[in-house]
Amino acid sequence: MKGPRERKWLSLQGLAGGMAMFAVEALIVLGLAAVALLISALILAIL
Amino acid sequence: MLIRPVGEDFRVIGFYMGRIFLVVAAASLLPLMWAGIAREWDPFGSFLLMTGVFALLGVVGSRLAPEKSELDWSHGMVVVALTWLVVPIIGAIPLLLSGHFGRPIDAFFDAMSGLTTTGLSLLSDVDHLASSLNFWRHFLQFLGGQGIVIAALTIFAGTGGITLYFGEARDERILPSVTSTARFIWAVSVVHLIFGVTALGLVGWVVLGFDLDRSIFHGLMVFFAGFDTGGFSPQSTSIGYYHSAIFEGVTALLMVAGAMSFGLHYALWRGPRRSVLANLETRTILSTFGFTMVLTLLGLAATGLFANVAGLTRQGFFQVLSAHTGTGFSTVPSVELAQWGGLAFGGMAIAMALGGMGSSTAGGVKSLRIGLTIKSVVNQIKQVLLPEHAVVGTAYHQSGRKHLTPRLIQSVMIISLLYVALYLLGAGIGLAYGIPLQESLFESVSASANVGLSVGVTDPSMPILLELTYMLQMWAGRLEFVAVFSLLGFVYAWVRGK
Repeated sequence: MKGPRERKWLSLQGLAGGMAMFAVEALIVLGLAAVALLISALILAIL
Repeated sequence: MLIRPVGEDFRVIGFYMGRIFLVVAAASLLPLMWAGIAREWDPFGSFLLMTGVFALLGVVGSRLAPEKSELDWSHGMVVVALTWLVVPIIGAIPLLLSGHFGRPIDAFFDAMSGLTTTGLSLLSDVDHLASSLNFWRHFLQFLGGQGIVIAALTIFAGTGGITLYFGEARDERILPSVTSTARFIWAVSVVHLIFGVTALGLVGWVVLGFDLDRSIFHGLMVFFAGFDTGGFSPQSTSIGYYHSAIFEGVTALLMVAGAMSFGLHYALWRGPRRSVLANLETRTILSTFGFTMVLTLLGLAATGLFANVAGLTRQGFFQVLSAHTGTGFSTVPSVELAQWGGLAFGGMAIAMALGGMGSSTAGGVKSLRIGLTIKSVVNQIKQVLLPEHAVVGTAYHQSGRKHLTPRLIQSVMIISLLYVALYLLGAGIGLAYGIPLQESLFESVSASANVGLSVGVTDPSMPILLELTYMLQMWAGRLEFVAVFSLLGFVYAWVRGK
């Protein structure tokens, strides 16, 4: 028998969680790109 | 005393390998159907042959019927190591018969590179490869990234599941049972597949002006190679072919998702999401990404290749992300990458060597090991500096509060050192063939950490010994040594045991 932890991600609530996972990943990429942009600007300004 | 394996040992190993081959045979029906629908009859014949061989081996193995169906640790490791050798050999059949490879071993190289999600390739004229063969190359990366054993575990639950699961270099069981963990991994992949192919397809269709079929094909191929951090591409110029910042952005998202541990995916999926930031592994990978990014951007700026912020950011960010996640996509040709030199080269090589998170599809030493090593060094320094009776904290957060034990440190150090040795092995052999140190080291790290970025050393005219070395590096690097050593021990016991 499946435990509650196993059932949860299969439910509709779980699917909403899947979308949230995706949104967080997109934010991570945007954040990393913003940091890269900042570093590039700093480096080119200094050199 | 070494005990020589007996018939029962071989039957157990053969039985489990047989079941896995049956799953791979079923998976091989996909490229077969693709070739049939696309009316590519030559590849259709070679896929039929390959599927037949997998099915035959599967049936023969499954009929071995060992007395005890329980799989112990050493048998499980041997099953995994051998499966990861045999699948690329048979999987190379359609590639070999395609006429796109100069030597038979080159086709095996590409199949091994595909399955281990490395992405180095010896295929000539990829731009004119039959679509079904292109599908097979990328699908191999998907199978390898997910783990062949994960595929098998989803379908059959056996008593040896846990051994096979850990043998494939996964050290985190997310859900109580291995089968449900395997199914969760597939669920995460399916969500990314739907989003990834849709987003990439839309960019191809709307922004790049591809027709619908072509958009979906490119979307699917780039998804397979991106999410599973493989790095193959349907075009010889990799992601640079698309000349699109939006396409690169979506690909970057897939690369990041692929390099994240499935445990982290689970935390993001069901929460609490804030706990993700407390993880030692998350903090380590963010720090090392920042560090290698600064090195690479500094190096690139010093070369004067990029005079504006946008160009420097776009090229530097994508290449470092590709290196650190172990994907191997690029937006610059390998000839240009070889010219980067200095700090940029160093930044990229370090990013490749460090790799992604544990229990992800990425290769390399892995962030958790780097984080634990740093924590261990810091603790050692604290112990020296603090008064004799002071207690130094050993707790760290990784999907819950854990403690750094001497045994854990030992295991982390051993695997990390083995990776360094593997990096040096390929570099040494490259040097012996007269390849400059910088390029030898870069390519060797790329092969061992299953990245796939190349500075041109991997070439159809490369020496066979170097090619074999890279294949060994890809195999050992993907399985994180344990299964490989188990296989070597098994063979040694067979030869020298009593």
